[in-house]
Amino acid sequence: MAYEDVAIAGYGETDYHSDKDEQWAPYEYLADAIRSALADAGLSAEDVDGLSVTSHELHGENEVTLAKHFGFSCRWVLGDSTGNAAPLIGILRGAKAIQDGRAETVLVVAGDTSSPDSNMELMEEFNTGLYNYMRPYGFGGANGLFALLQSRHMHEYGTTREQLSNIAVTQREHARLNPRAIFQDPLTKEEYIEARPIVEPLHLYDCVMPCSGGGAVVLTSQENADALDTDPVYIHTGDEYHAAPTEPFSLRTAFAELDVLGESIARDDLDAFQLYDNYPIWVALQLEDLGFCPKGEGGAFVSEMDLSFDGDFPLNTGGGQLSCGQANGGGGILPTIEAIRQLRGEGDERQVTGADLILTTGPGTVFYGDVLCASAAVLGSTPPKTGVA
Amino acid sequence: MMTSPTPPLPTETGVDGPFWERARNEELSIQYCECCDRHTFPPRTVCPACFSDLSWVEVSGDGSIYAYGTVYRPNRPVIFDDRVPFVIAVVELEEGPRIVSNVLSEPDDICVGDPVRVTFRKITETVTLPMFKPV
Repeated sequence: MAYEDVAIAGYGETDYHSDKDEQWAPYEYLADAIRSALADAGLSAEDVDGLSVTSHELHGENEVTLAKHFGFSCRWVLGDSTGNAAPLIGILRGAKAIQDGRAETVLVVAGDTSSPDSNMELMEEFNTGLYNYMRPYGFGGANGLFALLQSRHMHEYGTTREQLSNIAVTQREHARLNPRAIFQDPLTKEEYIEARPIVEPLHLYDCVMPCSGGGAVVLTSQENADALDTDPVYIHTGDEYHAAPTEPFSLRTAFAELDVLGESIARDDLDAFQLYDNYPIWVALQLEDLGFCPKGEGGAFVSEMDLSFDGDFPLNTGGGQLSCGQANGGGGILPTIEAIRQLRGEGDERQVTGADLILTTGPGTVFYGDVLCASAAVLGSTPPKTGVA
Repeated sequence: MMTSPTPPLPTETGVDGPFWERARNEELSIQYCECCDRHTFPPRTVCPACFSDLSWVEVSGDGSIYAYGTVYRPNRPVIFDDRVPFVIAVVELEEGPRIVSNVLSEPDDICVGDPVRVTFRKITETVTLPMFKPV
C-alpha cells in the first residue's frame, strides 16, 4: 500500500513504572504521551480530528468515550479489538484517512497500567477462547500459550534455548543504553539459561515484565508537516492480516500472510528491526514468516546474526519489551516509537548509523492457540518514492 | 467465615453446551462437519471452512502430545498452587483437532509425540474437565 503525502510529525513516550507506588491512573499515561507527541510535532490538541486508542485496562472506556474525555472531536476513530496490533494499524489506517481527506491530523495513543498479576487476569478474561479452553487448566496466561508454541518449535525444528538467548541478552545491552528501560542490569547467557522456569520451556528472561506506561504518535499531511518545526518520519509500506486460516498452535503465524516489503524494498535495504518481542520465540516466528529465514530456522538465525545496534541485524535497539517492560497496550507502540527515534537520529548511544529504513511489527489479540492479528510497516527517514521503483 | 476459593470455571457460550454437558457424563465430544469431513475445536456455530452446520460427535479420546509445558506460575494460584509444577499440553486428537488440557504425569516422564488417552476430572457439580493420561 502506498502512503505518500502523509508524515509522522511527532511522538511521545512516558516513563515506565513497575512499582505500584509509582503508578499513575491509566488515563494519565495516555494524557502524558499525547501531550509529549503534540509538543514534539508542534501541534495542539485542537488540531486533532482522528484518534486511535489502545488501552486494555480502562474498563468502561473506549476510543470514542476517550475522545470525548480528552476533547478530541473526530472524523475518524479506531479502537483496540486487534489488541497490541492496534497502534501500528492505527498509524497505517490513520495515514490512509489523511490521504483520503477524512481526517487531517491523527493521534495514535497506546498506554495502560499493568502488573504481573493484573496481566494474568487480563489474559484469563481476554476472550472466550482463552477463558473457556485454556484458563481452566491453569495455563498461566500468555506464558502458557507461548510456552506451548516454543515446545512445538523445539520439537519440530530442534530450536534451543541457547539459540534464543541471543535475543534477550543483546536487547539487554540496548536497554542499558536506554534510560527509560526498566531493566538496566547486564544479563549474561548463563543467567538467561539458568533462570527459574515460569512455564517450561520459558524461563524468567523469556517473559516480559508487565508494567505501566504509554506512547503516542501524531500523523498529519505532508503539507502540514512541511510547515512545522519538526523532523518528520514517513511510512513506506504497511500491511495487516487477521484470523489466518491455520489450525490452533500452528507455527505459521498471520505474519506469513503480509506483504510488507512490496515491490520497492529489498531485505538488505532495511537498517534495523523493531519486532514485537513479548517472547523470544515470537521474534523467531516473525523472522521466519516475514521471510528473513526459512520456516523453522528462526532459532539458528537469531543465534548467528549480530543483533546489536551496531551489528549486521540491529534488533529492538531500545531493549524491546523484554528489557523495557510491557506497558500493556503501550507495548504495541514501543517498537514503532523506537523506529521513529532511530530514523530521526535520536538514538543517542544506541543509534544505528545511517538508519534510513526500519521494519516495525505489531501483532495482537492472543486467542486459543493463536495470535489473531498481524501488522507490519517499513518506516523511512525520507518520503517514499511515488510509483514503483 | 471462610469462603472457598473459586476454581477457574468455563462459562457456557451458547454454542458449547454439548461439550460441557457430555464432559459431565465423561464423554469427549467435539463438532464435525459432514461437508468437509473434518472435526473442529474449539466449539463454534458453523464450520469455519464452509459455513455449514456442525454436529456433535463422540470421539475416541485418543491422541498424542503435540506440545507441552510445565507450569510453575499458574493463573489462579489459589487452586493450582498445590499441583505446581504441573503439565499443560496441546493434545492432537486422533480425529485431528488440537485440545488444550493437563496431562496427568510427571513432566519428566513425557515427550512430545507420546500417545495419551482422555480421562475426566470432576471439578464442581457442573464442571468436569477432560484431561489426559499417557497410554
